[in-house]
Amino acid sequence: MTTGEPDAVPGRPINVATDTLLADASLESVAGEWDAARAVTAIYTTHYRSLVRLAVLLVRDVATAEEVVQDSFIAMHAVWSRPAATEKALSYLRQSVVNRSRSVLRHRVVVDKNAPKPAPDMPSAEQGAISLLERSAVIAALRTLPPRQREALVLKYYADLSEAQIATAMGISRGAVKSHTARGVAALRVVLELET
Amino acid sequence: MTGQERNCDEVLSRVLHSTTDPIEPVGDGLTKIRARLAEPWLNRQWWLLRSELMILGWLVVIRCESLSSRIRSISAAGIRSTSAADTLGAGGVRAAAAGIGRRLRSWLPAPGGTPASDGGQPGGWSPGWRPGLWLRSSLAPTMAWLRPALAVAGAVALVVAGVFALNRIQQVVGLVGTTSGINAPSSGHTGAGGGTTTGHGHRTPGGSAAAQRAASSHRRETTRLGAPNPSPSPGGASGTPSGTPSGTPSGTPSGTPSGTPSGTPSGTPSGTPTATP
Repeated sequence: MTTGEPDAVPGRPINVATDTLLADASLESVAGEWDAARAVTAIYTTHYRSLVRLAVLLVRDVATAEEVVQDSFIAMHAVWSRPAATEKALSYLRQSVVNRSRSVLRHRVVVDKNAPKPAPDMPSAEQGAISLLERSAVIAALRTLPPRQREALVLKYYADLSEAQIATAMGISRGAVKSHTARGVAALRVVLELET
Repeated sequence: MTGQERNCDEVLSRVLHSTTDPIEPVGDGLTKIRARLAEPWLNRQWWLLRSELMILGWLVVIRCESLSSRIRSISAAGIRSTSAADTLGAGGVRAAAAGIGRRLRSWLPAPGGTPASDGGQPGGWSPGWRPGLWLRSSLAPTMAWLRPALAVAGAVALVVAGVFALNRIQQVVGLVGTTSGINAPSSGHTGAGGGTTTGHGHRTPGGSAAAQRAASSHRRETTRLGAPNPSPSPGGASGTPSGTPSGTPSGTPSGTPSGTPSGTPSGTPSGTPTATP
């Protein structure tokens, strides 16, 4: 389990390395630029891979997922001087990844609606990239869920986040998180029971 | 939670992890991030906004398609009528001009406030008729989609310009503040911008706002270094000295007493605040 590593302890969203980093950042508030660069490097080392995997589950494409995560790091660097952002760097990153994945999916919907139809026997690039994911029936079923339900399930069962953390990352209430998760699991129940 | 539900949760968690664990990021993401961070600020903002702008572009292109096709058809019709007028004689030109005039009259209001009907006869007045109504109604379906798109585009442009301008202003102000903070005397000098010294030798900011900012930044620096916190005195914006620059502390507060008791008496070196209800 990789994404959940820093959040293994409930109520502790950022790991020790980041904590040290943030403590250093608060002490050396003058050198904001240098701290931000160092922080980006430290969080990249610890969380980049897991964030990419999280984004892959949402956008279903490794290259796009990497772009999404890199954009999130750039955005985090831009707001690093603000204390609210420094305290919740990883939370900010997760939220940013979820939001940007939503944007990507929205863009895809518009493009798909207006793009010329490819030849039926020719698989698209995206199809090739996600073939690995599609091998699992559960993942295929997850793909059919509405975006919010999918996000809630991925954040809960892959990132191992608490309801409050999911609510923050998705920008919704805890009640809505419960509702989305319950509906998502109910929709997947048949496939999950077959899997067991 | 029932056993079945727990089982479902476990299965879902296991499947998600087993599926994504083999996925490895391609290429060195950190190098890319660093390269992009080294780019100018505006480029970075463009990278962050590009997906939204691309969606917007798509929407504009799609929604404008009907408008452009309409314009094309109108221009094609105009070219056809021009060529027809060329082939006709003078009478034909007159007839065509009369036809165009009739059409224009039907679009525009007549001198008496009554627009002519399409047949050239007066009348045909409708209460809701206004100039340009035809044009508006013909473009309405397109404009209905175009308007929000243009509004969003305008808002995005405004935000980008605003953030850019704010950043520049912050940089300039920060530069001015830093420069003034370095030049500000530590004790017993009259600073730039009409600032004076109090009885303790602390600088009282006066005059311009930049000088006040410089003084505040200077105070912050001294505070961080462990120096005692000087008490600022208000009323410096007028440029007049608020306290007497003599070395002996004067007991008269320089500021106008406010209705609420303030904890820090301005310009008064004594520790007892003068609170006037």
